[in-house]
Amino acid sequence: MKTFYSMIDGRLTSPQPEQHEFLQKKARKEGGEIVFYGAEEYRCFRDQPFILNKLRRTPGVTDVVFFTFEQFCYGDKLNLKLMKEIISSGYGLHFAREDLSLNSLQDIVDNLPVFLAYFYACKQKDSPSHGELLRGIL
Amino acid sequence: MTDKLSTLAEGFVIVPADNMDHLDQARSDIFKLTREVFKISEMNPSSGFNDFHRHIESCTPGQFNSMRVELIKRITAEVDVSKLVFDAFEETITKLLGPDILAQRGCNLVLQPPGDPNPSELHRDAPANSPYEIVVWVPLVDCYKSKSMYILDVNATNTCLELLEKNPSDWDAFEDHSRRLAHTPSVPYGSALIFFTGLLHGSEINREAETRVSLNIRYKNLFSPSGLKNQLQFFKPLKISNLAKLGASLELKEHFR
Repeated sequence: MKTFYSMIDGRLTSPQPEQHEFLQKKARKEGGEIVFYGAEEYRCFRDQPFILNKLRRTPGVTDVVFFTFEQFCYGDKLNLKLMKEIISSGYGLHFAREDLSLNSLQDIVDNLPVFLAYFYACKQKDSPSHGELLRGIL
Repeated sequence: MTDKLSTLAEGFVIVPADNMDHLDQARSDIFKLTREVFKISEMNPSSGFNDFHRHIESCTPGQFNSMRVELIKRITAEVDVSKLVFDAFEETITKLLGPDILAQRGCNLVLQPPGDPNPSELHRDAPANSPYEIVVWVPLVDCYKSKSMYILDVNATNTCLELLEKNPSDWDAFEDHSRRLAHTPSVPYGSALIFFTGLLHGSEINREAETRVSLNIRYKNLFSPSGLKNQLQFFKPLKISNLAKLGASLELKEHFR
């Protein structure tokens, strides 16, 4: 049976129990159980420095499940480097809210146009809307 | 037609299917599941759907709703409706959205028997949906008068929203004015009403003698803003162009340079 490390998203207003429920549901769907959980330190959620080291220090974990793909979109670039390192280190990489699983580097390559478009959509969402910008002009 | 489609001046257009085989396939697959869930013996999809209300006469509203939910779950699991509808209207949808297209994952099926007291209330999808999305409304039976839906064009929508903004507490006046300016298009089976998500629309209580059965599915370009919908959760990719693949592969190389 797969054993999952789960990563909640500390930036969202979605309460932790709600996130845990989604994470557990995804882990079970992939034939496993969550055995540990954690989160990135709030001050460095853009760089996600915690998870890879934690996985390497935690024996017996086969997979990691994040609450949302958005956790990889908080920096200036989509964090492809971390995705690649997690998978190259032999872990399965999953996203609960999007019901998405990546088990090989080829999975990343196959989904890349969709991931990049999502990343750009996130950035647009964080920018002031055209309505707000136009209100200053018109 | 081509001009109406290319300008989308009114914000909506009624178009015939580019390929009926795919639409027939969708209707046939959905009718098969409807027969199983509602235990309908009728074999013909057209009369089976039009007379659907006769098969649920003995159901309580609660039972009807449970079976409707079960049907939608089964359709979502067993029929790729958004792909079949896309294939049926591919040329039109591609003209509107370009070569990189996402489709809504789930299936929205509306069963509206005569006299059903729960029509869709007056609303618009965007915001919160992306204003760069389209809704493809596909009747599985001929829809006309109150068996159809109503929709306001761009100018009428703007007029009504201005009225609401001036009188934000008077919903009745807004609704009355909207209904006066609304179109109620006849849309035969084999065609679709395609509209911009910013248009006001809704439906009346079905006063005709037949059931309305319709699908509504949202499509958007891969790269257009996603509104409040999580793009990876709500949509799935249908068509990705070679240019988008080349661009992504270039970004990947630059990322790890």
